[in-house]
Amino acid sequence: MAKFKSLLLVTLLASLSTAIAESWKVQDINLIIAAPGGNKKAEHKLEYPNAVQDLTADSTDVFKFSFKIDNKEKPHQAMVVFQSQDEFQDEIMVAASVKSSGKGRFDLNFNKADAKFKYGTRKYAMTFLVGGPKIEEPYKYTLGNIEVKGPSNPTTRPARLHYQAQPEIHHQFRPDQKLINTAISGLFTFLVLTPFAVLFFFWSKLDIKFEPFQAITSKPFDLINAIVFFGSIAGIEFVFYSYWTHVTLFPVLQALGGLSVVAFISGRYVLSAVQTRRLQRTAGSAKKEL
Amino acid sequence: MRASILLSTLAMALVAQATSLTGLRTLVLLDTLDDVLIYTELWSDLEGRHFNLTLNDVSTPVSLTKYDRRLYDHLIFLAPNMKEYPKGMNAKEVIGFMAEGGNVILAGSSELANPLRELSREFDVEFDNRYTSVLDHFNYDKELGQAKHDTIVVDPSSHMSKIDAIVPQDKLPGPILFRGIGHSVNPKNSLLTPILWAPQEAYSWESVNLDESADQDPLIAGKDISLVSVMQARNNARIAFLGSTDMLSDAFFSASPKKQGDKETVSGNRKFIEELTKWTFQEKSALDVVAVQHHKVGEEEAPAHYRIKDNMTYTISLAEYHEGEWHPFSADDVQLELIMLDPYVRKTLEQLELNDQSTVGTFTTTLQLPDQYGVFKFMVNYKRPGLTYIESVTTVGIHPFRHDQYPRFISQAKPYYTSAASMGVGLLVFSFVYLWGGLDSTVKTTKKA
Repeated sequence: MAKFKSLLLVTLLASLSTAIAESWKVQDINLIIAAPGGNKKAEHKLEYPNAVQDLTADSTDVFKFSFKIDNKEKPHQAMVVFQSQDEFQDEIMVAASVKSSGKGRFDLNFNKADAKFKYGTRKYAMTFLVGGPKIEEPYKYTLGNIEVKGPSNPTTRPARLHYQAQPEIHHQFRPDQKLINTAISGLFTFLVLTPFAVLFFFWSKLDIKFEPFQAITSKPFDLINAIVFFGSIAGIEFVFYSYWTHVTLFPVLQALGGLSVVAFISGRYVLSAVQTRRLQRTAGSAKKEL
Repeated sequence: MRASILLSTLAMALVAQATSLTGLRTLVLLDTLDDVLIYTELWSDLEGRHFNLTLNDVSTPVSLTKYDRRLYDHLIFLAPNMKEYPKGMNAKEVIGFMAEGGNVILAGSSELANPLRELSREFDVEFDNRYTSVLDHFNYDKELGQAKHDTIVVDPSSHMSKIDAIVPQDKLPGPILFRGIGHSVNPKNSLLTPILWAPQEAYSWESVNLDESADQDPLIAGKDISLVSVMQARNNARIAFLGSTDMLSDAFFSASPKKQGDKETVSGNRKFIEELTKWTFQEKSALDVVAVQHHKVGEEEAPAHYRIKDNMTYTISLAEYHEGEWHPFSADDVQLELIMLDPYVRKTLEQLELNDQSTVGTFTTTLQLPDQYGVFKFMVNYKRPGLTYIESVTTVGIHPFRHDQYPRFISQAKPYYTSAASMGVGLLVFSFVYLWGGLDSTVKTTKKA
């Protein structure tokens, strides 16, 4: 008797739980892809949990989906979710209208549907969802994949803007100025020096004597003048050299001012000595002619 | 420079008394004062963090500012049914309040009325039509959402933003419960960040009568439904949009979410709201520039100006505020830009290693200035979702080479140098010969004779 009672209880509980855990019964799932004229390109009768693979549709095709629900209750949600199989995973939810007979259907014209179908040719995973508040357990059927061709002029996907690190920028420096070969400049350096060779060659022909130079060694005043004058000219040149290498304008002007006064005064004496010598020489030669 | 660091640290120490950088005066607007009892846990959480709460119902006149100064630091809207603003307040006032640096939390529900809807629209947040709810027959909570499947259980690991500066995932003990209205955010607004979004199976639909089937495509569905979004305005004022006032209620804080066919878990709502309010009320993820230094390589002080192609070092010190104190900030994506109309150089700064004594995060780089002269800006434009925007600008002049700064001796110019030198030497030789040399007078006379 006890055994019978417990059996009864178990069956009662079982029936009760089936009543609560009622699930959606979906049948006659049909999937048709039709060309704009109405020609069927593909037709599939689907049965849970078989999935279709490699479906393709043009951007102008119509996706026809129908099914029948064998429950007393009408579902609130009978929708197919298309999820794009790319980095964005865009989701498009398409609803079917379910009649009181339980028959449900929708026609999806890709041309007029959600703008997300128009971002270009993409592959979508299809999932059929049936659910409603009356029945606890929802129904989910992974239908398979479909490739939908994008229209000839696809729209651009509005990219989500967010702050992030920007790519680095490396400055392109201007290339250095191109310089001629050092061999050529070396050759010209040599050419620049050749006049000296010519000069010394002709001077050697002229047979120059440094008699006055030997002569001034005996006259201390002339000697000092000569050294100071020559030294000041060399000094001026050294100042020019310094100006070129490192000294700035104002110290240079100062030094030049000083040196030029020295050169001017000592130069007068040196040049007058030269003039005296010349006059002496012409006088001497005149004497000889006489 | 050291003195300025010290000063700013001192200033920070003074601010560090409060938990929120903005302040503690908080105004809460409720539909009726009876609703106070719905959110007792929230009040105790906020008061535990030293906030001074002023609880008002929408019929009480209130003013947010007086003499152009804010009277409150934070504003919480828990009044979705508010048909019109309390006397003395309007949308412009709220926006002005934010422009002054105040922070806002705006919670809606499926009955969300027009004023708050229009306010949200100002921030590029569009709530779905009135009386719609986010429905999900796959992820509803067995207990709270049994009747309408409108209380959904959201898994933070897959449907919450990965930005730890706002809500760090590892701090949540469990999934988040949501019952309310969905919204969409303008994807082109980079100030807006969705924090929580709906599962793939969810859709937004009128939840008044669920007997008829939803026979039209839902306006928003799946992950396009944002449940919680945040925005940080350009002045760093923060606002959070929640589609659900229930999220903040005691019932949801203490609930044990249980999805169809799943085990019972612990609700992550309390921790989620805690982290979200901490972020919104500037209790964390606030950054500040402590010091900026720049100088030529091998020098210490900033020069009056730089010269093109100079090698220079730039250093910026950043601090991050959380738990009532300033801490060193760490990141690997702080970038320096050299801008004169366009960026000429953009370089990622390297962070110096932190030690126990570090009070700031120091980011530095050494670079060669471009060969373009002009007035440049050294700019660190560090904007990342969830963190205070940093825009540090130092204006410097970059000069071209002076006449004596070009290379002085070029081997290719040797002919010119030599000719100049030969002229100098020639002058000396000539004057020597002219002054003290002479032709042999005897030769000359014999020739003449």
